[in-house]
Amino acid sequence: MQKLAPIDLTIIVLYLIGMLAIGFFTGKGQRTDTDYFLGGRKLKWWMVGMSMVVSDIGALELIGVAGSAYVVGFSMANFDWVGCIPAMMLAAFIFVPFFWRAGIFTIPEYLGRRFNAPVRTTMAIIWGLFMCAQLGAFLYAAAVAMETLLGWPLWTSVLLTAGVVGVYTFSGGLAAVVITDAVQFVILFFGSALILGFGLYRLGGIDGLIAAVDTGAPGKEHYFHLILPGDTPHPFSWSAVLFGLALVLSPAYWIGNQAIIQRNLACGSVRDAKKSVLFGAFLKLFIPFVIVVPGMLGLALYPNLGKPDGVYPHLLATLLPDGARGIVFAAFLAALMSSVDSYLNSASTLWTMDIHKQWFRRDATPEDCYRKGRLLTGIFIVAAIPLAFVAGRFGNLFTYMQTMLSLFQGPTLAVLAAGMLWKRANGTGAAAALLAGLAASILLHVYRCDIFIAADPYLYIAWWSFVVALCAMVTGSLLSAPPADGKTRGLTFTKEDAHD
Amino acid sequence: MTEPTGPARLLKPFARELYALVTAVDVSAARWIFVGLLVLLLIFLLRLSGEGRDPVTGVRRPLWRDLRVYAALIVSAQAGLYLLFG
Repeated sequence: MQKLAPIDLTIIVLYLIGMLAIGFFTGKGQRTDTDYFLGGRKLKWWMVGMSMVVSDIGALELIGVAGSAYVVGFSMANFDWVGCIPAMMLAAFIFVPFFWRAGIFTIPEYLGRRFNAPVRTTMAIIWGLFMCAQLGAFLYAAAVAMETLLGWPLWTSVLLTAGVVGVYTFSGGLAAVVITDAVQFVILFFGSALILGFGLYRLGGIDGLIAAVDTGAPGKEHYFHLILPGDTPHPFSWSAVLFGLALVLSPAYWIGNQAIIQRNLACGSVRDAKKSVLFGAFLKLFIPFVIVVPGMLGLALYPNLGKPDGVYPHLLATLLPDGARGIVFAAFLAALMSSVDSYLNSASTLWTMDIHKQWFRRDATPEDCYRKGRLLTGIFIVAAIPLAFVAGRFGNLFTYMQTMLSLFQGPTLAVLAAGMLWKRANGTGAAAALLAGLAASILLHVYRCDIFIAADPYLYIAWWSFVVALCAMVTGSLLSAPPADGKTRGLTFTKEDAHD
Repeated sequence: MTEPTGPARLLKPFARELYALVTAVDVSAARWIFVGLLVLLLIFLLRLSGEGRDPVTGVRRPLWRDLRVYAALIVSAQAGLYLLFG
């Protein structure tokens, strides 16, 4: 443990005060659900692009991807490249313009219009529960770093983070989330670049990194390669990355994740919404260099770390001089807060618009929804505190998150994609897809040791649950009556939807 | 792969076949599969009709205002990274 210098603490305190001020400032004048959940539909595209990326990175990626890169190497960059960019392109030109024009608040809301209320509610509950569980994992990730850096007990860090993020998200809604995210992106990017710079300097450049890995951790044949052989024992073989990550988890995340799409819906026009996604994809090109490579630097510098997840905090504590350490610690806090605020705001949106308004207060006014959304924001952040201690029981946080996603992302993508791209898909097919897909993913997860070679085969689970769900969707739809004439009008994709 | 139990027994032969198929593809071939798919995506994006024209006036946009150009640059950069680091 290395204590932060006074200048580091000053930077961190200023950063926290700045975030709270943004929250209070943007919350002024908000009265309706559109103000609170969609920032009044007037957010800037470049802010939204940064917000998408930093929300995706989050503390879990800093901790988990850097930790996984420490173990498996550069192939973790797949999560930012082929695991993001192709899906973001499809989102930019096909899905986002369509959702924006539909004037929806949530993805389940679209599914409710396209299929029926049970499908909408099921999806809202699945995503709502997942987001609440994730809040706990994000808070735990922060606590791990603060324990390494400051020696603070777990509960102190969890309470501090929950308090700051809870206050500004409660005050300013999505507008506060996106504006703070944009600031957080800049701090995160340049803060992580400092670790990269100092680490490479210490090792004598890229050649020094390669030589140090060869010497300190021999036998890592594919450590610097993006694409790994099919018989790789860890979860990132080329086939798992292609089928599970690029074709299922990534599109499901960038097209069907409420926390991501909600930001695009907050842009002022279709063209701005498209631009925001493209800008996010452009930024994604650079992310592996500031997150994955530092994890690899960790192996070169400290080949005997007990916990791989501790590599990023360890680099932060040992590599940087005073002042720089404060900036990078603020970057870490930025990553953490951007994940928590995004999921907090989106969980509250889902529960307000898809559960409360649909089942308990159909006549709720926009002002009622605004008040309910704020109340739920407060409740969720409090509920996330005990969940942080549950998340701590899992080994690698990134694997924990991806495993949870893999259980329902396949069926989610099958329902969403078929609903948008196939007019014949109906409510029966969607229900069958959800049931069969979820059952398949749970069975595959339970019997994963018997079926798969890889230790954590969550990418394969995502792929096969998607295939099963798609088959169930087609079978269920063809065996039941087609949607009534005109019911799918405006709810399925046509070429015109790709226009501005 | 351990000896399967329960429903996993039914999937065992299927899983073995697929495993053999996947391991038969070497890393170099896999890299070209990735790059090939990115090129297909690029072609698809470029063919999206309408994006190059203003939706109100129908006038062709200058290249720097056509979002497909930026998309093409990003996807090409990614394909290049896979060729470089694959």
